[in-house]
Amino acid sequence: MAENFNQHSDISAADLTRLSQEAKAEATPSTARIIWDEFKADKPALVALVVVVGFIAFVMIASLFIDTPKMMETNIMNYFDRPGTNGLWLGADSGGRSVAQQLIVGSRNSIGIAIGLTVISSTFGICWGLISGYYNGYVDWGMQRVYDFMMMLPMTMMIIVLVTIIPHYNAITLTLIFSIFYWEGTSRLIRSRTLAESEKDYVAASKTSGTSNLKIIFREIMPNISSLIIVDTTLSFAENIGVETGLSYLGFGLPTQTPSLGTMIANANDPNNITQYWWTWLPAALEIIILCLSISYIGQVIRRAADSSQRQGAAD
Amino acid sequence: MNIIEIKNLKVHYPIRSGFWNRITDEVPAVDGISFNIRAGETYGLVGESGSGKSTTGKSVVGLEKVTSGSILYKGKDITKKENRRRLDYNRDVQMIFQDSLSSLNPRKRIEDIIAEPLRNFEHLSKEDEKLRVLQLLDIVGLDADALYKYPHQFSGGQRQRIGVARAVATHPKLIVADEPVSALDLSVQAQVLNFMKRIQRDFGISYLFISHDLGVVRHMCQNIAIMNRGRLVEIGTRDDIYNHPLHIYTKRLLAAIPETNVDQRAAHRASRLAVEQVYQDEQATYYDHDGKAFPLVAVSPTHSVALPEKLAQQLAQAETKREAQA
Ligand SMILES: Nc1ncnc2c1ncn2[C@@H]1O[C@H](COP(=O)(O)OP(=O)(O)OP(=O)(O)O)[C@@H](O)[C@H]1O
Ligand SMILES: [Mg+2]
Repeated sequence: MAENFNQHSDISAADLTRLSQEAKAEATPSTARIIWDEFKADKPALVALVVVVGFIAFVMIASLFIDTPKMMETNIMNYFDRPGTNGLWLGADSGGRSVAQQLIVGSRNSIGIAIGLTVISSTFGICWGLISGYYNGYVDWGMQRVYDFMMMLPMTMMIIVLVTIIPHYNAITLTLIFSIFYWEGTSRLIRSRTLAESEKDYVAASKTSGTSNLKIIFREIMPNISSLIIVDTTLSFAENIGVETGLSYLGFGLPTQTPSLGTMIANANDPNNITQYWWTWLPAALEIIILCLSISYIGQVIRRAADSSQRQGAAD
Repeated sequence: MNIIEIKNLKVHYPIRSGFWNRITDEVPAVDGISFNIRAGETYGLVGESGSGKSTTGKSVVGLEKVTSGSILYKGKDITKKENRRRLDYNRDVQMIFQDSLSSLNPRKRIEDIIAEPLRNFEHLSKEDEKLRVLQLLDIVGLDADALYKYPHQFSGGQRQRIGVARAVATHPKLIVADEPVSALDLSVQAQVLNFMKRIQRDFGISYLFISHDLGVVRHMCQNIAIMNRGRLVEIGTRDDIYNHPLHIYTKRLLAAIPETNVDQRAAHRASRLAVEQVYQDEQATYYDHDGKAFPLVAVSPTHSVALPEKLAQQLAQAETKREAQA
């Protein structure tokens, strides 16, 4: 068979290296390169990226040097110290505990949970949506009924009940409990795009080329909805920071001896704190606002990079 | 020798609705058609939009779930998945798609697109594979620097060439070409058709050539089937169809071929309107109560028409008489 092709084309093995080198020189830039160019073209986005990545790296590393049980000990001498006194940059709360240290450890806990939750729920939601959308038939029908059932459950109430029932839970079990309830939105979004994508002829062409269904789903279709996946994941990361924070604020998140952004904002439940001791809750609130805004801004830039018609960077 | 034999093929799309997703209705996209494709020939399948041509083509490559009927390849019914797998069917039967842009994965480089069937069916070494891809690009007239580009960087004609390169990669015996040129402008159409013919000569491939345009089919096909609302209304050689059409639907399609000679435009228009008038008047004779075509009856060894037998013979005789007089 190979002879047959040799017969009809002048190209032979001798030309191989030369031709593929020529082709390499003409190659288009990779996706990572395009996204990076887009960030370089949009300075505020670059700032947002540096802020988010820098901040996450900082709290992850800094929290290693903080002895949490010791930090959480009550120290009556520092009762509501103002910022800057007694060597406490951001002052102390009603227990005389350093707000700055709590902020670092709390951020690590909250962001860690948000990352874990995003990874688990997005991975699951993406797989669920891809498979459900690709095999539209009985498989899809069954998977959609499961989805409908999950959507029927009152999410926040279920989480509160589960947290109350489980006697000892920590950051990891909490992440897993959240994950049970947070994949649906992603899966629906991915499914609807997969349905549209599966109709396209390149999927049919892959089938006639002998490619297996799983490979078609994850190697052919998934790259084509990658921009949707990246944007959705970034945005749900921003949202997931809010999930843990909100529940901890209500008192159903992490146990009280574990600081988190939510427990810190909960300081604002006391009217005294709101007006007089603002440093106990304001830094955590500001941090969440800045983080979430930056992350969604980054998400928008990535979306723009993925959609070639909206690019600002000098691509191609 | 026949490479493919299609027997009474039916593809009905179910329409599902309600909570239990039950089948409530059906679209008979292909409704009992039979024809054979001989090895090495180009077989034309012609009909207006929505007549079920693509569905037929997709059934032949095994992309469509067939409701009933059979498609025989090497004596095996390839409407069954099991048989397709056992024969490595798609190594021998490939498809060129109607929409060249949508048929190429926008996220894959040309090298990976063309190499996809090779990777699944031939398992070549990396070097051999690259060499084969370069040769294929050369055969369809594209430069080697296409290798690492993406589909959107090419023009429509170039993309269709890439589609052809992928289809011939595994050296198939039959290629289903679904309106391969209808999205291209006239000069590019001619180019693509010419090299499709060249490839056919060089590699001995058969084509099932699907088109809505009898003008294009004339240059490509030895045998032609005319399809209307999921059924065949007329089968014959090129001569039968172009010079002795018997079914009003065929006549109407023929009248719709654009006239390029400016002087005869007016006359052409008049005759087209006349044919249209006849079509409107005689529909009751040529279709049954449900508006469906009749079963095919043979009027000569090569030529069959979908009409009640007596009427078909009458028409054939009238036709020969008219021939003799002219
Ligand atoms: N997946 C589907 N579900 C339901 N009906 C379908 C489906 N695909 C096609 N049909 C219907 O089947 C009929 C035949 O479609 P098909 O695509 O085979 O037509 P075609 O002859 O190729 O037309 P065109 O020239 O426009 O490509 C049409 O009426 C169409 O609406
Ligand atoms: Mg079609």
